Amino acid sequence: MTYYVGPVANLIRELHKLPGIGPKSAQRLAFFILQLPVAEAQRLAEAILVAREKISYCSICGNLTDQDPCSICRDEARNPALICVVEQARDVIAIEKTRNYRGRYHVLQGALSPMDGIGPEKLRITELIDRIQNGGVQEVILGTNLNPEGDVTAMYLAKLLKPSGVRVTRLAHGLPVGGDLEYADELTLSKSLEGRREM
Amino acid sequence: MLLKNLELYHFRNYSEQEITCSPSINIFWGTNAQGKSNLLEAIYYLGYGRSYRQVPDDQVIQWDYPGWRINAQIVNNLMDPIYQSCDSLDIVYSRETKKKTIRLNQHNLSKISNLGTIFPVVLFSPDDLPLVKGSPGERRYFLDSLLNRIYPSYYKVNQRYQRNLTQRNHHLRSSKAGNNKYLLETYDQELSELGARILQFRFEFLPMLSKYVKNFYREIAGEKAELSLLYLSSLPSTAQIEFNYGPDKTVKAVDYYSSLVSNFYTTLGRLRNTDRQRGFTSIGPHRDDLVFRLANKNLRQFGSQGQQRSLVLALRLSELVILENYIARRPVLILDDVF
Ligand SMILES: [Zn+2]
Repeated sequence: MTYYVGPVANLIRELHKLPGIGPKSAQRLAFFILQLPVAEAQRLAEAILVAREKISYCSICGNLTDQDPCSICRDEARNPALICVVEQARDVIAIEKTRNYRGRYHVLQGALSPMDGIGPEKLRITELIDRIQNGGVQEVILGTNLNPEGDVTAMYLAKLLKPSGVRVTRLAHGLPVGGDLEYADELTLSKSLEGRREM
Repeated sequence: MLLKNLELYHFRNYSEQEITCSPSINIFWGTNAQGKSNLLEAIYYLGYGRSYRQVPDDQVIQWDYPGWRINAQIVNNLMDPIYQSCDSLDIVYSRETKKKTIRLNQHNLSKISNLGTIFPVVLFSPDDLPLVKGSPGERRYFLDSLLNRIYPSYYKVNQRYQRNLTQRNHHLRSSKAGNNKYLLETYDQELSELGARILQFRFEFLPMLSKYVKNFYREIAGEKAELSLLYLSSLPSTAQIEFNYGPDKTVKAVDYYSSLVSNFYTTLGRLRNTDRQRGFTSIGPHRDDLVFRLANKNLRQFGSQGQQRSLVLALRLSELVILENYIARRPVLILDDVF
């Protein structure tokens, strides 16, 4: 990177810090930006700054928002008795895209992972308990990822929420839509047997 | 399986080398340090995606070249006289990206573990003695890698078990472990369910391994005393299981899955304070061992060099036959320096 004059090297270094951007991509992006008309580069820079300044976490659900509380928490048409717990704000978007869910959310901002130093105190778990203790919640859907960390987080929350008496459910582990039974591995199959339902 | 053709590029001492193999037995003959073992190492790479010398991928690059490549033409059906069903298997490593790409007929392979069934390889070498003499980890590795190849779901279960184990151990070492009962309980629950499955798989499989190892050992060593195989478990109720009888009298592990789970769970709970002090999980399939006995003496400690070598060979030959039965392909057997 010493081949480049200061500002170029600086731009490459900053881009390289972004997730999924290796040294070569950072270089490519930097040269792309340097070719842009000044006005366009300004729009890009402003978009980054404005987003960073205006967007914060909703004080109720922890989702990304430009207004506090967020639009989902303010929406009267959404069922406040139903809360879906997810790991990240992007999971909210994934579920919203199904247009199938009319409850509210709770974003944990991560999953339990002691090897990364993420214990229960690092997640928005106290906020979840508070929401439930304030009353009105009937069901909590545990929508954490279906990997070891997501499963442990869900099991841990289920234990924690049990005394509160609310109904606790877990997103079904199962076979992919369009998947052939014979190609499913034993772990997936046995998990989907556990999660079978009445027809 | 047949290795028809092998090409190496910047692998160990080979800059560019092409070798055409015969359809039966191939012998590589030469003085020391000519690269015979490096050749075998390359063939091993085709079956396992890594070196048997337990070195990282960048250490087999020749000098300071940017990477290495192994290309092989492999034949599955030996009955096909003109080898028309030849597959091309390619492994390319780049130093810059630190990435290893595996291609079968130009299509990228997503999982390295698939190689185990595409080009099965069994190796026997003098460096193999730790399998008998070494730590329990060596024998678990043998057992696990065999089970991974014959039951793809074993691999998944084991991988998940290992992941939860690492998490539990980190949690045990964190200062907060003492005041969070629920989290430890959660890990115990996950570990005992996954661990019981691992045990189930192992118990189902061991009678067969035991049968083959005994027969091969008898043939190789020519001894009258019968070899016996014991599974040494860290769970109290299954402390020592001897897989010494025929398949009809095997332990019906399936029947007691739930008792294995509860046994494991209670023991984890009982040892919680010990584990916290030690900073790791002291029981489970990750601590178990296989014991081979001849006339009541453990060959690991009390076997002669000859007995130990015979046992290693018997284990490798059993591996070969079991793989052949399960994946319907006869593995390539590599014998390194056995004479
Ligand atoms: Zn909100």
